Amino acid sequence: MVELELRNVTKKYGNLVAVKDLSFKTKKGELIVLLGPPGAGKSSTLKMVAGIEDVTSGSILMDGQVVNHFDPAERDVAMAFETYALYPHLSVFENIAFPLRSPKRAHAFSEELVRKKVLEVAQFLEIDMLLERKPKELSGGQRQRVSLARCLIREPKVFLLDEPIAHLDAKLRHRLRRELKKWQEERGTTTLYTTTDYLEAFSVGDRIVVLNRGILEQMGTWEEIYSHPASHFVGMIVSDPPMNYLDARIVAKDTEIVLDVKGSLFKLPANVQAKIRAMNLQEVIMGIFPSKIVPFAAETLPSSGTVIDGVVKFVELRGSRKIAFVSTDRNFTFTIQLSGEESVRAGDRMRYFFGEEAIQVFDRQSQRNVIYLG
Amino acid sequence: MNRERFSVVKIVSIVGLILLMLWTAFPLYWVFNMSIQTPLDVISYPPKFVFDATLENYSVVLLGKAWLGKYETVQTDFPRYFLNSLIVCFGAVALSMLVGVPAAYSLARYRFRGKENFAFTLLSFRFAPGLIVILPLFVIFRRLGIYGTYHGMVLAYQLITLPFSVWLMRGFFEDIPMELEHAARIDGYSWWGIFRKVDLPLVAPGIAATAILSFIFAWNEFLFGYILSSDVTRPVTPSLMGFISYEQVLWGQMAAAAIITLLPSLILAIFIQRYLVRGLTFGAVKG
Amino acid sequence: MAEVRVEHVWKFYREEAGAAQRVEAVKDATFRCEDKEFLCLLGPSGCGKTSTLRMIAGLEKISRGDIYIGGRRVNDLPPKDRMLAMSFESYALYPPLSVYDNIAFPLRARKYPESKIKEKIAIVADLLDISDILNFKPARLSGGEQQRVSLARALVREDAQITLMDEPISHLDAQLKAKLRIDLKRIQREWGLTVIYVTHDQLEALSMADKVVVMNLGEIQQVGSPEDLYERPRNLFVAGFIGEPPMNFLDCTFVEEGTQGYLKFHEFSFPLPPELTQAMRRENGKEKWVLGIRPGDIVLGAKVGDGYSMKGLVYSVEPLGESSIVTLEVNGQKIFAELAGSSEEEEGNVVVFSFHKEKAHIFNASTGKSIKE
Repeated sequence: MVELELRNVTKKYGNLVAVKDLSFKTKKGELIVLLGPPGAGKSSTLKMVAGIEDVTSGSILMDGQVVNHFDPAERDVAMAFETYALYPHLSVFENIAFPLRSPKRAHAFSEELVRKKVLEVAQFLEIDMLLERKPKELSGGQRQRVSLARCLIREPKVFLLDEPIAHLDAKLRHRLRRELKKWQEERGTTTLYTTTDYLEAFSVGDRIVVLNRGILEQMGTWEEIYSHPASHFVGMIVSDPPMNYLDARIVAKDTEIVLDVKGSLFKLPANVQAKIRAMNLQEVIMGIFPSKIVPFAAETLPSSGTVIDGVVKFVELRGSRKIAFVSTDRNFTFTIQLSGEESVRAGDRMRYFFGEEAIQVFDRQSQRNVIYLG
Repeated sequence: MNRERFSVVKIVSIVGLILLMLWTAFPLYWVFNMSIQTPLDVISYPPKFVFDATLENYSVVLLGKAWLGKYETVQTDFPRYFLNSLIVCFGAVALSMLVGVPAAYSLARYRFRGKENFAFTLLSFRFAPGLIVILPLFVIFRRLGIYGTYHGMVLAYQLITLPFSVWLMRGFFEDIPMELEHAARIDGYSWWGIFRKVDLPLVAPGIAATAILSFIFAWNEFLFGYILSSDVTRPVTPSLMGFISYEQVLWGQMAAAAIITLLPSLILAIFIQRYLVRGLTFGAVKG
Repeated sequence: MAEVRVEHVWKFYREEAGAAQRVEAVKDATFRCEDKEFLCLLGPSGCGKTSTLRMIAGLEKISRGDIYIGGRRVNDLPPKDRMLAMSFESYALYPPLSVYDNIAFPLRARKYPESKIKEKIAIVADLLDISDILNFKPARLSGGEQQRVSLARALVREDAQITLMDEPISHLDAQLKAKLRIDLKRIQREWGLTVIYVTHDQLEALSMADKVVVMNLGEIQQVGSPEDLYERPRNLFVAGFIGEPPMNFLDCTFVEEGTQGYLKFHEFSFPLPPELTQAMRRENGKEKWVLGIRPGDIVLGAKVGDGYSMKGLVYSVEPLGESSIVTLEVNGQKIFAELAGSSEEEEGNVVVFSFHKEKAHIFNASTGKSIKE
C-alpha cells in the first residue's frame, strides 16, 4: 500500500515528447486508470514508474521518497506488458514462477509454495490447463493471461497493468474486469492500469487520468469526468457513440445568455451563464452526450431546456440500444441514443429535448470546458 | 492449358537443377575417384571411370604403410597435421566465442560513440584479402616469437572467425525483444542474471550455429595456415601441398588426404541445418 | 446489376491428404448479396469468412459450388476480370508511392485521364479526411491514416461492381473505429455501393450491415438483418456471439406437472406456454435446455408482469456512464444485468430480478438450436 506520486514528469524520445509535465498522486491502495488513445503516453508513464525507462525530467515518488535512481528490482513493482514479454524458452509454469525465483526472493519460496501460488493465479485466469506449454503454442489471449499471471503472482508495492485484458474475447474481458478489481481490492495494492476503452476505465478505476499526447487533460472519478468533461478531447473519449459537438455563438436573449447554433437557441444553466459572462466568451462549442437528448412528446413546452424539431436520417442498431442520426430544419445534425424498445425509422419527424444541465460548453479556442475556466 | 504449361516449367527447372548439381558435384566425384585409384589409373588418358578400386592411398596417408616394392613411401605426418587443424580451429573458435559473444551483446544492446564504425571495421577485416596482411603478419609474428606456435595461429585465425561471429551473434541478440529483459529486470534479476537466464538460453542455438560455421571457415583456411605455421604446427589444408614433391605429384594420396580433410566440414555443414532456426523467440512478444 | 450469389460453395485445404485429412474451411455456403446492399460476413477467427471473401475475390480457388457476380458465373475468372475493389486487413499499401499515387494506382492501371483521377481522389480524400496527407509516403502515416488510405483506394474504383473489405478497421483504436463505422456506412449509402465486409466484431456488423451472414467453423449459422439476429437468434452460437454484454445462459431442465411444463433453474421454476410445452415434450423433454436472457432485458427490484423472476446476490456493480452492469450471483452462477443510469444496489444485497417471457430464448442444449425454430 504505497502512495505513488508523479511530479512534473516529462519523457522525450529524441525530439518526440511522449509525456509532458505529468503530475498526479494516488491514494494508498488506489486503482488509477490511465485512459487515452494509442500514443497518449500511457505505456511510457508505466515504464518510467517501473524504472525501465529513464525520466527526462521530473520525479517519481513512492511514499514521499524519490525513486528516480532506483533499479526496477529495488522499486518492488510488478508489470504486465501489453506485448506480453513472455520468456519463449520457458514453459507457462516457469514463466509465471520466474519472478519468485529471482536471487533476492528465491529463498523465501520453497518449491511447494511456488507450485501453490502458480496454480492459484493460473486458476484465477483460467490457464491452469496450459502450464506445460510453451508460449508459441498459445493463442494471443492465452499469452496475455500468462503475462498477467506472472505479474499478479507477486505482492509488490505497485501493480502496473498495461492494457491487460485488451486482447481477450468479450466474455472473458467482462469477467476479468470484475475479478481483477476484486483481486486488487482484496490485496490493497496501489495500481496503475492503462486502457483505451472508457467503459473499462469507468468499471475498474477508483479515479481516472485522461491523457492526450502526453498531457493530462482531466483527473477524477468517473462521475466527475462524465458529468463535466474538462475538454473537447475528454468528451470525445468517454462517449460511444461520440459526443455531439456543434459550433455555437454566444447570444444575449432577454436577461439570459444562450447558445446560438445556426439560428436555434439553447438554454443554459445559471452557473454556466455566469462563467461565460465573466470570461466574455463569444465563440464556443456546444457538447451534449447522445444519451442525454431525449424524444419529447408532451403538448406543452418545458420551462427549462430547449426543444428542437428534426427528421431522422437513419438508425443504427446497437444491440439493446439504437442510435438515430437526426437532422434539423436549421441544417445541423446530431446523434441520439435510444433504448432498443423505441421504434424509430428513417424519415420520422420528431421533437427532441435538450436539458440545460446536459449541455457542456467548451471555449472554442482553448477547447476547455468553461466551467473549469477562470 | 494451365496444366501443360506448369509441367513444362517444372521439367525445365528440374533439368536445370540436375545440370547444376552435376557441375558442382563432379570435381568432388573426380577427386574421390582419384583417391581409390592406382597411380597408373590416375594418370591414364582417356580417364578411367571403371577400374579396380583400392584403399591403398588411404592406408598410406593415414597409416604410413608403404607397399613393398611398388610405390614410393612418403612418411606420413598426415595424422599430425589433422590434429593440428583440430587444435588450431577449436582454439580459434573458442577464443572467438569467448570474446565475440559479449562483444556482440554490447553492440546489440548498448549505445556508445562510434559504435557502427567499430562494428563495420570489425566486419571489414573479413573482406580484406588475406594476401594483403599476410606479409606484415609474418614479420610481426617472427619478431614476437610466436611464429609457428599454436597460440600464434589461434590469434591469427581470429581475423577469420571473429568478425563473422560477432556479426552473426549481434543479429541473434538483436532478435531478442528488449521487453524480455525489461520484464526480467522488474522480476528482480540483475544484468548478469538476465544474461544467464534469459539471453543465453535464447541464443544457444545461435551460438551453436555460429561456432559451427566459424569452425568450417577456420578449417578451410589455407593461406594463414601455410604462411604462419612451422612444419610442427602445420594445419591439414596447407599440408596437402606436401604431396607435390620434386619429381612427381602423388595424385592418389593427395586425393585421399583431400577427401579426409573435407569430411569434418561436410559433416558439420549437414549438422548445422538443424540449428539455423530463425524465429526462436516466437511467442514471446505480440505481433 | 451487381448482386453476388454464393451457391453451395465449399473450400478444402490439403485435399491431397484425402477426404479424412483435408481441412474443410467452408462448408456448403449459400447466400445472396443484393445490389447496393451492405452484407457482413461475421464470425470468430477460423470460421471461414475470409476464405469465403477470397473465393468471391478470386484469390482462392472454389473447391465446390458456384459464385455469380452480376448474374455471371465467375468461378474461373481471374480477379482482375471480376470488377471488384478490395481493401485488405493489412492495408497493402505500396511503400515507395505517395498516398496520392497509391490511391491513383488502380485508376491509372485502367487508363483513366489524370484530370478525372484528381477529381475522384479529391472527393474520396475529403470524405475520409486524408486531404492533408496526400503527399506523404505510407511509412510516415499512423495506423489509422494507413487504414483510411487503403479504404480510399478501394472506394475510388467507380467501375467496381462490388467492394470487398477484409477486417478493414480491426487494428484501430476505439474512437477511430467509431468514426469510421459511421463514415463507411454513409459512403456506402450515398454512393450506392454493394459491399461485402468481413469482421469478427459483432458491433461493426450490427451497426453497418443490412444483412449479416454469421459463420462458425466453416458453416453458416444464420443469415438475416441485424435485428433478426439480435431478436431471434436461431442457435446458441448466434445468441452468444451477437450482443454486448453477451447473453446470459442458464442451464435448465424440463419438468412436467400434469399438462403444464416448466423450465427449472435450481430452485426456480418458469411455467411455459402450451405451444412451447408441446414442442419441448416432442423433442424428448428429458433433454437439457439452455435459457438465454440478454443483460439488457433484465429488470431489477420489481417483479415484471407476465415474466419470470429469480432472487440472487449482488456480486458487483460497474458504473458505465449512462448505464451500469450489475453482476448477480445465483447458486454460484454469475448473471449480468445491464441497467439504464446508475444503480443504487450495493454488493451483498439480495435482490429480486425478472424478465419478460418473450425475451427468454430457449435452446436445446445438445443441438444448440432455438426451440422457436
